[in-house]
Parts: sequence; structure tokens; C-alpha cells
Amino acid sequence: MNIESKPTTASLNSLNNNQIIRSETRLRETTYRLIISQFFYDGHQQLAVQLSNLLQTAPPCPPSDRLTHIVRLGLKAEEDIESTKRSITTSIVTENIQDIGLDFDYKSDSLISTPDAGSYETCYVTAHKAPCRTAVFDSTGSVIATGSADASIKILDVDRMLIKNLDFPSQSDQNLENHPVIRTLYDHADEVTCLDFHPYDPILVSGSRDYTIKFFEYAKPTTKKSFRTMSEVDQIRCLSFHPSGDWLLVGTQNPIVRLYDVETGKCFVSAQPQEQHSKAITCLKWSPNGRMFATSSKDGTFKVWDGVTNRCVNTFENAHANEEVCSVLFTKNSKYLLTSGKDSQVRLWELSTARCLIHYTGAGSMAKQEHRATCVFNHTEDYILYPDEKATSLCCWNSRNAERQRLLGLGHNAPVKCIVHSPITPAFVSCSDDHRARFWCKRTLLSD
Amino acid sequence: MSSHMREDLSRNEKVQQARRVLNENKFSLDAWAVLIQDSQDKKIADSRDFYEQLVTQFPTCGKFWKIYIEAEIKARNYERVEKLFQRCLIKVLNIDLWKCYLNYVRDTKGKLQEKMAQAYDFALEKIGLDVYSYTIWNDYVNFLKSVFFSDAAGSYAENQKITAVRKVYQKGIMTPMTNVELLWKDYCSYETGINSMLAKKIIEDRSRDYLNVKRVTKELETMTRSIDRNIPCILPPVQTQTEELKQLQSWKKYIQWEKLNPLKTDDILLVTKRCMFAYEQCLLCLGYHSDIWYEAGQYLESISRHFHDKGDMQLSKKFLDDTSQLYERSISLFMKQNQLIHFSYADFEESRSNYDKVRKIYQKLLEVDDSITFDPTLAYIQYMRFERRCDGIKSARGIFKKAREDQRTQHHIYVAAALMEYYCTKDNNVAFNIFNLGLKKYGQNVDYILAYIDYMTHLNEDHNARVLFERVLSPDNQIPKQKQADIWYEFLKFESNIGDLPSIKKVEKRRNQLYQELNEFDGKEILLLIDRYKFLNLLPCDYDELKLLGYNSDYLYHHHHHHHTSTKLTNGNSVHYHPDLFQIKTADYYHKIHRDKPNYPQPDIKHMMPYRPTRNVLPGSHPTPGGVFPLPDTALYLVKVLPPPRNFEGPFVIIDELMEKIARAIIPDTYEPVRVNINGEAIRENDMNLHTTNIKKTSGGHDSDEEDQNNSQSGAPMDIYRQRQQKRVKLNDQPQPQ
Repeated sequence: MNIESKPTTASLNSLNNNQIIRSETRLRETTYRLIISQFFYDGHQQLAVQLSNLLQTAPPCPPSDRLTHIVRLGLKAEEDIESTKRSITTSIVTENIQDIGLDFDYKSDSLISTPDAGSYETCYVTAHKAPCRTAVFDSTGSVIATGSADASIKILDVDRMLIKNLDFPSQSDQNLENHPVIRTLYDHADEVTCLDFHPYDPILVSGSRDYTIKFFEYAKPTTKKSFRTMSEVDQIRCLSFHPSGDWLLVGTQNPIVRLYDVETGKCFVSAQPQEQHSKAITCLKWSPNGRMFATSSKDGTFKVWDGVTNRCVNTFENAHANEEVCSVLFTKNSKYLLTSGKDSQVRLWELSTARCLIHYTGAGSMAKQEHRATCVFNHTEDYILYPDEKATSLCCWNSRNAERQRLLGLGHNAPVKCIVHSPITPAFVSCSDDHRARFWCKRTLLSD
Repeated sequence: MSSHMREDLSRNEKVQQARRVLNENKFSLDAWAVLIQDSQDKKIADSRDFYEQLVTQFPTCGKFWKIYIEAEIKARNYERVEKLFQRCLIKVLNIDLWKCYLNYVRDTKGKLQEKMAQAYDFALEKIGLDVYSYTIWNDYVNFLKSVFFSDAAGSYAENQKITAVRKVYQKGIMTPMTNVELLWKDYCSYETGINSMLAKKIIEDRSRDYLNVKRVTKELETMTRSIDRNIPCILPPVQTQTEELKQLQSWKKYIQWEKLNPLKTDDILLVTKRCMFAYEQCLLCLGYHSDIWYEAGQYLESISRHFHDKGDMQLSKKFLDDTSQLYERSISLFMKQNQLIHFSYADFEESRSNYDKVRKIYQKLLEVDDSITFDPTLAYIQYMRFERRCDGIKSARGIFKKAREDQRTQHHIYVAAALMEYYCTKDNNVAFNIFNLGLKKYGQNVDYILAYIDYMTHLNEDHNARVLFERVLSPDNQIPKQKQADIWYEFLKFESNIGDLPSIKKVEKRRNQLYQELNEFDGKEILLLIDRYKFLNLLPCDYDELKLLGYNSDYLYHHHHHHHTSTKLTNGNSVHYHPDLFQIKTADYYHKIHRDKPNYPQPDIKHMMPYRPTRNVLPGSHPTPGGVFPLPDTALYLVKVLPPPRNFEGPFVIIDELMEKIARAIIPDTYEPVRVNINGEAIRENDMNLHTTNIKKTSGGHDSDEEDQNNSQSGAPMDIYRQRQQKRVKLNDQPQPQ
């Protein structure tokens, strides 16, 4: 069972590990016994018997209402703690509630205040000259970059796209000052496969099939070319900035995960060669707390690595029914990992226990998925979004109970391979092989 | 069924949660949104109270007024609707609200043409400058066209109608707004429809102005693009949110643009109207930003001055009244507790010699009964100063008396009153009396004592000053030891300035004793010594020495800390001079930077292997396939400066023969340097000597002999480049001896 201990109090630290494990298992056992007793008490005889047979409880559990009492007390205590917490941090309360993100250690059935993807609307469409492959939001959610197979990168201003969508038709479409596409960067010689924004500075990094990684100062109005290029020996598939912005993880066609020191451009790999993937890397991401990173590969596995030593901590074999794993994504608290695979399933993994917590099923029911696709959280991590390839619609699940929400027709004429969600506001970008990137957003009550 | 129930329940919960949130933070827009949604589905009678709450909380938010009014309209409570419109229309110049009003008037009083026309005129007067006002203009024109048709039988009525329509058109096309092009087109076709000959001339006359307006419209659209005019006023949070900051910047940019007179018109009244419209719009959304209020007031004042200079007293007076009204509005609404706006309002009225009004303003400010957050001391001080200016010292003393009786005031009022007596009436005794009176009340207040000391030391009353020092530092006057440090510091400074050496030493000794009791600066008495010699920002040691002594860290921290708390307690205005303010500031700054960027765990390259990805890897060159170990930095540099391998065309070494030669070589015991001259240049030789080791040099000498004899390729494979250089040197060299 769950032997990973979370020493919440200082006293626990003084216990030795065995004791912790024992007390933890004992606690679980007590919990199960209480559940069975409650079932008996409430008249769910059959269930209770089944459960006690399954868990082989000895001695048998008598019917009891104790669990209800404990839950009542616990809920009250939790509320008290929260209210004191609130009074300490006097900042806006609703924000605090949202900031928790996805965390199963806390109330998991709280009300969702954010809109599901079904209510988003297309706000702006921009077209490349070839399939649009990738997009990324910057950390403030105010700038988007899209990369395409036509080797170009577009930088889009979110505010301007929102303004464009207002009901007042303005005749100044030609007016460059208002145009949402603030830059178009042509510096790569082949398809731009991946993009990432520096977490603090106005720098965009791009990876391409032309074997290079390029750095752009996109905030400068004159920027057309990169100010720095790093050469690789293979097609770049994915990259990710360390949350401090000082390190860059790069995944290529080659299965070796590379870590670049951004300042010196030096490259490092794990000291253990056997830990590496056996096939090309499809996606990699730093955890938001910088303690680890995750990589997914065509070899059907995804791995979690220690962020300090660059050693593989865990390999999840056969994570998606032996199909390629297409994307990995940490939750904001770095406790959980969301993966998507070519089996059209999305899975949520708890990292402390190294197990799959939730399957999000139902996508890809029309036909087998052929291309890779990414899955994302919405900005509050209440929902999970995943494009359905054949239907070119967007599947949306409640992230906590995997309940499917309304489908959203994406309006693309070709498969959508990449979607990215804004970190701040209800808005996302879908990138499709029909050359277009669509910007979607939910109009809020107060600004429509 | 069950799902419906659950839905209902969850919604109730949502509403309840929102109410809870609002109890703690009445500016939580999310919570208000939930409640608004909830009440929109309820009957108006049930939600009226809530709506009243809403518009009381956000009296300038057009959106919320509109929601309220729409709910009333839905329920056909027209009387209430009228009353509501009366309450909000004039104050809230929100385009959507006004459109709603016009729609309402049209729907209910469509028949009463007179009323309708009045409503339109009224609306255009108030909000016709809005960038989105096109529909109003257009509706008005259409209304005029349709209305007069029915009974415009005679040619007189016909003419009247044309005049009316034309007037609206002409005014409209001179107003920058979105879709002004459509209005222009309509107007052109309208004129052509009446008289195509005349129309040409009229249109031609106006087209230049219209083009100007069109250009300004473009700019206006850009300016207002990023502005969201439906944001309700919320108190700026301590950490101002970026969204609001952005809005503030956009508004300021827009207002600034209006001030620059984009229409390039000579009509100053129009410019002013546009500017004030911009300010008003801005204040609807950002009513809690005192700077906007102040700027708007300043702007109106400057306009008034402009007309005053031109000799137009009537307009000048009008704008002064406008300014007064603006201030009045601000302090009755959002700036109720803002002292800054009150003071500037008071000063403004004072400059107009409206003294009674000033008194009312101060009294109103002093009546604010939020004792937790509001400290009236500063207000009293300003009030007192005002009375001194306009009514003499007597009235000022009256205010001081009032302030003393007010429980909320702090010690500053005594300091201010005493200094006022000293500086204005030049009466030492009165000032002393006030200070002594204050000392009875604030005998333990270090800030007050320091102010008193400061006063005393400046009077050159050495004896009295010493008495004061001893009095406040005596054990009878119980000041906590931790707080005494600052007084001792002043005492030492005082004695250093005027006392003789023994008394300086005496004070210093007593001061050190205090620190010993406090267990601070253990063994660092030197730091206290520095205080004795310090003058202003001159220090007896240089910066690095001070750092070494620990002056910068411990001492500073202590003082900084103290400084901080003292300012906090007394609402700023600390007279206490601090020598190291600059350093504190920088320290704060660094602290801030570090806080902004959290400390993430960093990858540790000691645990990793350096790697250089390459395509064609020799097996075994790196444990991880697909790359090689990169060369160390120095080697990398060498490799970079070396010429590329394709430049090497020989000579190629036959290794076996070379090895054989080396094996057979006899290394001589004596050292004979080989001098080589390349056409008078000795550089190569020198370089070589520097780079080769001693043994190599000797053997090199030997080698070169052999090379000369054999004229064959030789040299270690690693040394191939240098060998080649040598070779070349030899070849160049050979002709000379021959």
C-alpha cells in the first residue's frame, strides 16, 4: 500500500522509518475498518461483507457510526485551519482557493468555479504556410508563440487578440499597431518543433528539425533573427526551461536527454547511461519546483529524473498500453504528472506513490490515433483538455473525478497535434495540420 | 431528479460561499459575480436589496447599474426605473448604461417625440464623445428622420426637419468615434438626397475636417483598445495586481493623448471637455486612485488659469467651480479617508479664499470615524497650519486644544504646535510649555523625546538640554532599555558637539553600560566609538574597514529594525536622522530581488557527465552513445586556433622508422641551444623554445640534425604540427648556410 511517508510533524521525524511505515499502515487499516463498520451501520451489509473478505479484516468489524463522527470533526477542523490561514493571508480569498490547483490531499470535491472547455470560443485565428506544430504561453499568459513546419515562429499578443474579438468591428485591420501578430521570426531552416519562454526574461527559445536551438529576444521590435544559436546533431523534438531559466533540457531524435547550461552552452547527461530511454524523446518538462523533470519517449515509457543530480528516479514502463507516450505535464504543486499516449488515453500519476491515479478515457473512440497529441490542464487544473484526432474536437474531463464534459468542436480541418493552455486565464491555443493556430478563450461575466 | 437537486444544492453552496467571501473582502469580484448571477434568476422583489448593496458598493460601475435597471425593467416597475436612472445617469457616464436608458425611453415614451428628442440631446451632450457612441448618433438621426415625416407637411416643417438632422449629422461627423465613416457616408447620401448640387459643396467643405476626425478616430481606437471600461472600482490591493496596473497605464496614456489636443482644434473648451470626459471615464473605473483625482483637479485648475489670463473671468470661475465640485465628489465617495486629496482640496479652496469651506473640509475629514485605520494627527496639524495662515495664531491654538482633547491624536501634534509657537510667535516659553505638557503625556515615547531633544539642542540651551537628557534617562522615567539606545546616541552626539572631553567620556561610558546590559555588541565597543566620531555621513574608517568591524551587518540590522518599527508605529514622519539610509535601501533592494525569484534547486553538474553530441561517434568515446566527452576548455581553445586538418598536406611520418630512430638516439649530456634565423626573424625560434620542454629541446637538437641528414619525415604523431613548423623553418634556413 502507500508506504511513502509524509512526516507532517516534527515528532514524526524523530521516529525511525520502520515505525513510520508501521504507523502509516496501521492508520490505513483503521481507516478501512471504520469504512466497513460504517457500511454495516448504514445497512450496506453486502458491500461490507465483500470488503471485509477482500481485506481479510480480523477481528471482524462491528457496525459503528464512528466514521461519520470523525469525518464531521475532521471537516470542521479543516475549515478552522483554512479560516485561520485566510485571516493570516489577507489577500483575495478566492485566489487562494484557486492557487491550490490539483491536490488530492485536500478537499477533492470542492466546487469548480472555472468554466469547462465546452464554453470557450474562438477568439483569433492565425495561419502559417505549413502545418502549425507547437505553441507556448509565456509565464504571465500575455504572449503566445507558435511554431510551424514552414520554419517560422509567430509571436502573438493575447490582449490584442482579445480586443480584436470585441463586438465593435474596427476598420483598422491593416493598422500594424493593432495587429495581434507582433513578430514573425524566420531564422530556422526547417520545421520548428518546440518552443519555450524564459520564465523571467523576455527570451524565447526554439528547437527545430534543422538541428539547432535558437534564442530570440522577442520583446525588441527589430528582432528578426536569433541572437544566439546552439547546434545539436539531431532534430530537436522538445525543450524545457528550468524554472530559474538557467538550464535548458533538450530532447532530440536521439534517446539521450541533454541538459544545457544556458549561460555557457555546455551540455551534460546523466552519469548512468543505462538509465536513458531507448527511443526518441517525445516530450520533457521541468517540474514547477525545479526538483525534478519528466521525459516521455517513443519506447512507451516515461521517466522521472532528479533535477539536481540528473539521475533517473523512476521509469514507468508500458505506461500507455505499449504505445508511445506523447506528452508529460506536472501539476503546479509538482505532486502529480499528467501523461498522454498514442492509445488516446490520458493518465494522472501520483509521484509519491508512483502509481496511476486516474484514467481519462473516451477520446479516440472513432478511430485509432495516428499522430502524437498533447494533453494539458486548464489554468486552475480543474479540467484536462485533450484533442480527439479523428473528430477534431476537444475532450475535456473534470480532473478530479474524470467526468467527461461537453465536447468542443475545434473547427480545424486537420488533426490537432498540440494544444497549450494559458497559465492565468481561461484561454488556450490549438495548433493544427491545417496550418492554423486558433486562440480560444472564455468570455467572463464581467467583461462581456 | 437527483441531479437537479444536486445542481441546486451546489449552487446554493456557491452563493453561500460567495457571501462568506464578501464578508471578508467586499471587493471580491468573483463573489459578486456569483451573487449577481444568482439574483438575476430571482424575482426583482427578492433581489432588490442585493442590487442596492451592489450599487452602493460600486456606485460608479455602469455595468452593475445596468443589471439592476434591466431587472426592474423586466418586472415593468417603471417608476423605480425612472428613479434609478435619476440616481445614476449623471454620475455614471457609461456608454452601455446610456444606451440602455435611450432604449428604455424609446420603448416607453416612443410616442412622446418631444421627450425622446430631449433624451437624445441630453445623451449626446453627456456621452456623445464616447468612442462607442456611434449607435446613439445614428439612432438619433434615424429618429429625427422618421419622426418628422408623419406631420411634416408644410415646407417650413420640412426645412426645420432638414436643419435638425443636418445639425446632428454635422456634430456627429466632427466627433472621433468608431464607425464615424458610416455616419459620414450616411450624411453624404443624405445631403445628396436633398440637393445634389448643394451637397457637393457642403461635403467638400467638410471633408477635410472629416479626414482629420477619421485620423483621430484611429488613434483614439488604439488608445482605448486596451482599456476595459466595465471594471468596477476596487480598492487597490497592497500588491497591486498587474492587470490593474496595466489598466492604470492605459488610462494615463489615453488622458495624456487627449491633453495633447489630437484634433488640433483651436477650441480650448472642446479640448477641455474631451479631457475631462476621459478623466471622468477613468475615475468610474479607478476611483480609488487618488493620483487621478488630483491630476484631474490640477488640470481643471490650469484651464481656469488659462481663461483667467485671457481675461475671461466667467469661464475661469466656472472651471474653478468645476474643480471644487470634482474634489467634493471625490471626498464624498472614494476618497473619504484619503488625507492627501482632502489637503489638496483644502489648499485649493484656501487659494480661492473660501475659508469656511476649508474648515468644513477639515472638519469632515476629522469626523471620519474609522478609528482603526484612521489617524487624524496629520489632519489636525494641517488644519492648525491653515488656521495660522488665514486667521492667526489664536485660532491655530484653538485647533491645538481641540486636537489635544481628541483621543486619537498622537504626540506629533505637540511637536507641531510647539515648533509653530517657536517659529511663528518666536516665543520660547510657550514652546517650552507645550513640550513639557507633551512630555507628561508622552514621557515614554522615544520619538517624542527625540523631537524635544532636537529642539532643545538647537536652542543652545546646554544646561536645559542636559537636564532634559537626565530627566528622560533617569530610572524614574521608565523607558524600556532597548528603546533608550537612540536617546543615548543623541546624548553622545550632543556632548560631542558642545561638551568637554570628560563629559563626553562619561556619557559614552554610561551608554556602553546600557549596551552591556542589553548584551549587545559583545566585545565590539569599537562600534560604539565610531558613533562618537561620526559626523553626518563622514565616518572615521573607510567602508571596507567598517565591514570588517561588523559595523555594516549587526549594527545596521539592529538600527534598521528599530527604525522600521518606529516609523510603522508613528505613521511615518520620523524626524530621526539615520546615517546609513542609503545602505538600508540597497539592502532592501537586494532582499527584494531575492524574494522575487524563488530559490530553486539547481542542477549539480558534479553528478553528471559532460557530453558533446556528435553524429559519427567512435565506439567507446563516451559511455552514453551518440556523443563524446568534450575537450577541456584550454584544449578546446587550442583546437580552435589550429588550422583545419585539410590544410595539412604532409610531410607524413612513418611511425615505425621514427620509433626506431628515437630508440637509437643518444641524448647528449650537454645543452647546445640551436639558433635559427628566419630571414632575420627570431620569433618562431623563441616560440618554440618556450613551448618545448628542456629534454625535448635537447633531443630536438639532435633530431634536427638527423632530419637534415635524412631529409625524411619524423616527429611524434602528437607533435605533428610543430614538427611541420620546424621543418619549414629548417627548409627556410637551409639556403643560408649553403
